[in-house]
Amino acid sequence: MFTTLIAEAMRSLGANTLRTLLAMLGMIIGVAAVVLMLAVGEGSRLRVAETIATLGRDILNIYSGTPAVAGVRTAAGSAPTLTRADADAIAQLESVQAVAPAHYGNTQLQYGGSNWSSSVFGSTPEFSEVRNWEVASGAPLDDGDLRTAAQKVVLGATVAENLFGDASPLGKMLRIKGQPYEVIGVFRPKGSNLDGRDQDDLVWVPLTAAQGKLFGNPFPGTVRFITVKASAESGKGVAERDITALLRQRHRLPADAENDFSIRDITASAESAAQAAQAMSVLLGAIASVSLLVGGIGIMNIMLVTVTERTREIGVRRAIGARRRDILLQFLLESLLICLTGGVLGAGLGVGGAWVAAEFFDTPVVVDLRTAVAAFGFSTAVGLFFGYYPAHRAAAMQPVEALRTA
Amino acid sequence: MAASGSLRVEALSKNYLPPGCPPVPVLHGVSLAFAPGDYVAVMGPSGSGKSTFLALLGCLDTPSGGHYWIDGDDVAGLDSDALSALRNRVFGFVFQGFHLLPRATLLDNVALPMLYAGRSRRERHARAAELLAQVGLAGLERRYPTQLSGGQQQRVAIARALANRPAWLLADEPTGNLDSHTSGEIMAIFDRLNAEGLAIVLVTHEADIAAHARRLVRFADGQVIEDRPLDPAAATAESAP
Ligand SMILES: Nc1ncnc2c1ncn2[C@@H]1O[C@H](COP(=O)(O)OP(=O)(O)OP(=O)(O)O)[C@@H](O)[C@H]1O
Ligand SMILES: [Mg+2]
Repeated sequence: MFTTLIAEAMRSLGANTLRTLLAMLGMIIGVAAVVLMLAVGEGSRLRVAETIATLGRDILNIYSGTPAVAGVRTAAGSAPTLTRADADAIAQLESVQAVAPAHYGNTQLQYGGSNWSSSVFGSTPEFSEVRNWEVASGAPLDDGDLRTAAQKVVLGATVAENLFGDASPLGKMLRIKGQPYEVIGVFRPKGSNLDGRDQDDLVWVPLTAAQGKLFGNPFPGTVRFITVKASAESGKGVAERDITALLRQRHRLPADAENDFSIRDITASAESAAQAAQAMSVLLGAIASVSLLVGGIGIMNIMLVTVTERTREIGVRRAIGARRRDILLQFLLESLLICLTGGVLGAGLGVGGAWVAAEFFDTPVVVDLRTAVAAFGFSTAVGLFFGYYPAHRAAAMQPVEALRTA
Repeated sequence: MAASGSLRVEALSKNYLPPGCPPVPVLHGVSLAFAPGDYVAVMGPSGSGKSTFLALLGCLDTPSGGHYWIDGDDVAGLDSDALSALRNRVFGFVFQGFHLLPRATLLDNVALPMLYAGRSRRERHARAAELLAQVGLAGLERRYPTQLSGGQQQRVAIARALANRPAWLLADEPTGNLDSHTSGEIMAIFDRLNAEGLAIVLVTHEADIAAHARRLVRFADGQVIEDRPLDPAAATAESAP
């Protein structure tokens, strides 16, 4: 019975191919928009989540200077206010899991005939834990290296690749500002961050080597910044409060004085990017809903015309025994069929669009089973919702009046 | 559905209510009874209410007043689905304009009432083919109605009306669009079906068509003005009223 009804529905739709296709077009565009919206929304959500994961959770950077002028670069001539002793004190806080004081600069690296300019981070062994830098091959720097200001370096993947190509850099000597450093490890790559900056373009040396040998330090005992990982239980809010209180006390700031340091949440920008991605998804969703709505109205319009045109047919069917629900089902099936076919074609178009976005515009996209479910769900819903009224009108006709229609 | 035979209407009336106009009384006080196997011709001037009466009889429309019993059951108490079931199984309709579905094959047209009766596909197709053969259209199952002559289309309509073995065949000017030779062929089918036990109510303007029936009911101005038996032997002798 059902196959017969579907065959009948296809036959009536096939009888007016152009009209059916035009009605379908609205659905195709609507479903394609939904699919594209889901793919792009999910893609950017995932990209942001991954970035936050590579940055590490609950990371705070503490810089010297008041918040207004704070930065990695302190005002010329003024002494940095943060010291290694501050870092040690922060490490004692309950709400802090690990602390790494750091110094950094940009400089030239050389190996053989290759040159590469990169960021050199001088820090303590905690650096890799705090900043989520896993050493993929070789070994990290240890306390002995820090104590002796050993001329050892761990390379970011980009640096390793540019200076050494496919060869293993472990044990090789490269020159940083002309000084020889032994490569003891290579970090696992993190890829680019949300701004497109390559996170793997860095090297890590002992803090003592950076301050004592590479860049010098006019104010002994101070550091450029301190990077802190808050403990998971208390979170970064509590840690920031504790650190502020501690540093104000250690720096003997009067109650009305401004902080002489500033604390930044390095995942904040990623989190705002996540919010932007969310807002983008909502906007795309709104556009997709509007196109689905327009598509649905198109279906309803066509179905109303169809019902009017086929009044006599409806009368004949009722005269030979069709019940109201048989007529209702017949016209609902037709609108469902248009919508589902449009849904399948639209899903194809949407997936194609997502592929183009990924391939040519480097937009992160995710196409998965949910895409198919959404396309199917939305086209069914539109078919039933916008098909119901015309089908109901068809079913409500009086047989004798329908028959009398020319 | 046990209904198989007697139809009775009592003081039946019908007013049309065209929107924005005063009601149009079309039938008033029609009382008639039909027995199983009857062969009735309904005649009368144009606009006298014949088609309206036939539609009420076939449950295509509902009366404005009076009563209608099928096998003693009052039709007024039936809901839309029950009326559909009556049209599906107790009545078969044949119209002046054939009313076949143009995009369905002859086989599908004839099988359609069986689809609504919930019969299996095999059953539907077997019976539809058999019915087409009965009305002399064997071999044309895959044709479409537009490829047929009027007489052939009316045969298909008759086959469709018979699909669920109804007790009654209601025909509104079945030969109105056909020439006299083709009309004769259609009437021969009606005569045979009636001889096999099918009750027929036939609306016509032509006396020689009416003469095939055994009873004549004449309408004028929405009322029955004549109801008399016809002598089948006199069929050929019957002339204009
Ligand atoms: N839907 C309607 N609205 C208003 N009046 C109607 C409607 N249908 C029929 N009528 C009127 O009812 C009257 C009877 O119509 P009906 O079709 O029953 O006549 P008939 O006897 O079958 O005529 P004919 O021989 O021409 O077919 C006519 O006067 C017609 O104008
Ligand atoms: Mg009439």
